[in-house]
Amino acid sequence: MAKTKTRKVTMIRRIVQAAFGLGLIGTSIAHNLIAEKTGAAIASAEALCPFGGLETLYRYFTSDMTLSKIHLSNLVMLAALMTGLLLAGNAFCGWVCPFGALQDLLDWIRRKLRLPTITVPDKLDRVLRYGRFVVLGLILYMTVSTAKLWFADYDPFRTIFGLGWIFEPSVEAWPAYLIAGLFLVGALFIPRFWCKYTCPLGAILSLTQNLSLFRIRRNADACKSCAICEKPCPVGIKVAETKNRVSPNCIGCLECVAACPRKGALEVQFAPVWLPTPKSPQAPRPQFNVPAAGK
Amino acid sequence: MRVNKYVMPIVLIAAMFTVVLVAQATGAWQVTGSTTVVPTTTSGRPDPEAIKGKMTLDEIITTYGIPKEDLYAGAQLPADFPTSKQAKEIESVVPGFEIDTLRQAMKDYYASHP
Repeated sequence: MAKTKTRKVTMIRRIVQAAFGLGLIGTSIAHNLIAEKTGAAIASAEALCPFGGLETLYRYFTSDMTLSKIHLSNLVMLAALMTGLLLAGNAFCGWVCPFGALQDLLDWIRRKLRLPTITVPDKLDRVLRYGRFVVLGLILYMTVSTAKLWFADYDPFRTIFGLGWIFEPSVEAWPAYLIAGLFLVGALFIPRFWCKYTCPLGAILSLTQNLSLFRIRRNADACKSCAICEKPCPVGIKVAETKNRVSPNCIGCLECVAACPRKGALEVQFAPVWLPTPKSPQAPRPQFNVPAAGK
Repeated sequence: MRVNKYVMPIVLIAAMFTVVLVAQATGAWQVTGSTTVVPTTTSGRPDPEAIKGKMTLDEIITTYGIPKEDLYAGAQLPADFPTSKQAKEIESVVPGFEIDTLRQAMKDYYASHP
């Protein structure tokens, strides 16, 4: 039953991810084929990136101008993302982000080709998770100090989804191609490699997701720590060991909730931060089929 | 309070689309027009180094405040070259033309019009 529910969540999630991913690629193709030549108002991949809005925030408020290559749409996307985050946590990462979808696709390819997974040791994994904040800090520092979109020349999202490698390939862009290539190889062997260790947007979201109105909560009384929920987690969270609050690494994919066989143990709850933590409901009594006497 | 698990992605996507639609309705949704975001030099004027091939001559004239005649004379452009065309298309009528020529024309104009 739990396996069926997991498959259903996965299937729906894949459809939503595909819709956003293919929509972005289609827009990017249209931008390269039509907008670049006619000046038509078709967004480029970078015009739809919420992180671009974050990069330009400082400059926008200090000089009423945005960085070159950034548009007002980036600020709108940032506002849209933050609104979604405050309502629904990091579900953006698991359901919308095309980069996340690409990594899930690479993970699926790896499983189909029966390629090995590289398992990062726990201690090293814990340290590497801070890499997101290092990348974020570096990008923001270089952006403010150079007053330009410094990360654009290295951003794998822009490199891959901007489709410059198809429409305007350039030898000078080799650093961007190299970084994108390393990312693709990394994501092939380590599930959600970018999200876990290097995503600067994920770093921001991890700091704020505990403010969300809806969140995944584990009920320690109902949970029997079978750890079935941990198996489908794309980012390797030890769900069965978490306390009430969701892990900052959670991408809101709901695979753990669907996989959990115990009713009430792992749920999505309306739990705004200003409300007191609800008391754990009584753990359900186990049901046994006891044949009637004499039968 | 327990809710259906699908509430999370549904609320997220609905919220994001709502913000984007409101932005479109209020005119705040701009996905082009990066010429309005040219960085300035310390003099407060738009930086000539920020001229890009994808900018049209109309955009350059408007953003940098240079008369069409001065731009065409400074960059030695054919008089009949449409201002609606992008700068990178100049090479199709002036073989070997480089964007740096436009940038230098702007710098020379600013130098002669402090």
